[in-house]
Amino acid sequence: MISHVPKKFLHYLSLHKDCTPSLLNRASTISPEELDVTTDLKNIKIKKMVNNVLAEIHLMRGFVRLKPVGEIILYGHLKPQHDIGHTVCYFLSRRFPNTIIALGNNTRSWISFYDGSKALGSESGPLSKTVDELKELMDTPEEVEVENLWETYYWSQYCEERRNVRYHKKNMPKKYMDAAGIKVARNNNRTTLDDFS
Amino acid sequence: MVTLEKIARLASDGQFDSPGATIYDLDMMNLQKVKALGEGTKHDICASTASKRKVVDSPGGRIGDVIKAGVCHAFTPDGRCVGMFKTLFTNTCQHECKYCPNASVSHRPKSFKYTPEELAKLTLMLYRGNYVEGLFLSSGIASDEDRTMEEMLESVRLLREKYRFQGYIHLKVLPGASYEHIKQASELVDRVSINVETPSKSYMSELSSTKDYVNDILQRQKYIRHNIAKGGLPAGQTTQFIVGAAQETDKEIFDRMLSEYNEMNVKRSYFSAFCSVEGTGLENNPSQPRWRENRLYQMDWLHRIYKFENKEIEHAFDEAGFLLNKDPKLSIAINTIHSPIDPNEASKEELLRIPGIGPKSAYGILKLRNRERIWKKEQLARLGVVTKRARYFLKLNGWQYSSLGDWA
Repeated sequence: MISHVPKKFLHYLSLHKDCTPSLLNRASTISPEELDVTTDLKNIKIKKMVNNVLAEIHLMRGFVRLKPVGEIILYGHLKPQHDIGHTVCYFLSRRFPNTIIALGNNTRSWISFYDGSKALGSESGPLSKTVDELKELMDTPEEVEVENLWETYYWSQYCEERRNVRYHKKNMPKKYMDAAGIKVARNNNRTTLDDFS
Repeated sequence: MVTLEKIARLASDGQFDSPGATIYDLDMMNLQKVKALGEGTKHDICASTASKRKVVDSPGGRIGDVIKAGVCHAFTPDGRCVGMFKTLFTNTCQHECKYCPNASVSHRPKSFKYTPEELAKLTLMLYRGNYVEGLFLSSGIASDEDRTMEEMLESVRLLREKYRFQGYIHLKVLPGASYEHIKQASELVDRVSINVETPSKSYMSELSSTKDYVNDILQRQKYIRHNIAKGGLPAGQTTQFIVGAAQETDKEIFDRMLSEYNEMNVKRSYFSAFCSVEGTGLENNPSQPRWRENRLYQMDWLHRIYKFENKEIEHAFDEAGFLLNKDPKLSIAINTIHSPIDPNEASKEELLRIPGIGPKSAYGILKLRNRERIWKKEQLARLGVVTKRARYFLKLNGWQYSSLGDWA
């Protein structure tokens, strides 16, 4: 069957947690005009699904935090809604060439490495196990703790006079913070981000 | 799927291709300094990290890159984006700006100053943790602007050359900085900015007796514009206004903003509602409501993106030249749209003037009506039109909604 839509569109749709073969089939028959502008509810739903995947990729690129193990490994928590682990991991490996990037959670992990000309990827079990294995293979020194540097800087940017909890929740929905494993930060007034949930 | 052993082997071989210098120097981390110098920039608004600079892999390796759309890494509880490591180089300043806690006339906090190496490593530690997209570097002027600019540029050069940092850098140009320093900055960073703060020289003189509005600020913007024309600064220059520190009207700020776009080739203007800070010369002045900056941003958008003309925009201001705390597009629409509009026949410009219709939904309407007639508001809703707001200005299938006081 000849598909009218770009391959990337179908690829992102396939990453959505609720994607089915029949949805992919239907998506591949959408005309370019319909893909551009549509009022058909089913096509709108398909476009929304792709946008949700793209939104999660964009947000996870920014929200995932990386912990260094020496200078050669960076690892971080990622538990996305959609199947975007490889995509986010690959993005970060391109950002940090010659550094092993490992993202994941307690069931699944993704590993990526870019040497400046080509990228390699892998998938494995729980992140903690993957990181332990990588530490052993690389014979690296201990992890480096920079979270306190970040928290100090983060709270230095906050203006109490401009406090806007609704706006903060809109920009940093809890589900994405949880997906990226962003920990609660404490300020010197002992208010925590949990107060805003 | 590749094994972890293979990845580890390649990583071991590739260690010699990395920039090499050690980044993680925890002894260098003075958190009190990070806090103080970070707080000095919290009223600087610019959070954009979008750059069209092309990042190329080189044999010596690199750290980081930029992306066209930019990335935001966190939001503070006031809702603002924390996309960069935004910091002062030093919080000591010889200027006497009454709104600034670092001014020589203010009750200043303890003085701190980074070394270029310290600043570079802190930036990289945060960057590699994926906490920030790059560096936003400003400074007080400790001795003179040339010396301070030189030290700031040294930090940037260290990042770019020694550590091969290819992430985003935004550098503040200090008032009175030399052409040569601005030229060097244009070759190294993605964006520069210098804050105009006020719409005119007379308002600036109320806030600072030491800054020359024309020579120290506007002339420097012209130098920056010149360097952009020569191909530097992939993300251009921006500027910032303080709203309500002097008694300037919103119209005066808006007119100055237009000059910044037309004459200085500024990419974007930012607005920061004046916030009274204890220990400064303006501590007894009332803080301004945040909606003033929101309404100015809306006006900026109407001019820049929607291409509203000046004679239309004037309807958003009251007689005294201030914006009200209501949607300026609605105020303009009430005064300029004289009869309901049929979306099947309206031009793009006419559609954009309807509240609830933006560039994306206007595009959708123009495309859709080539294929089918628009006859019910559900079609518009599916294109992203906010029909609750747009319906008063539309005529669908011969019907028109009446209300909004029939635009009285």
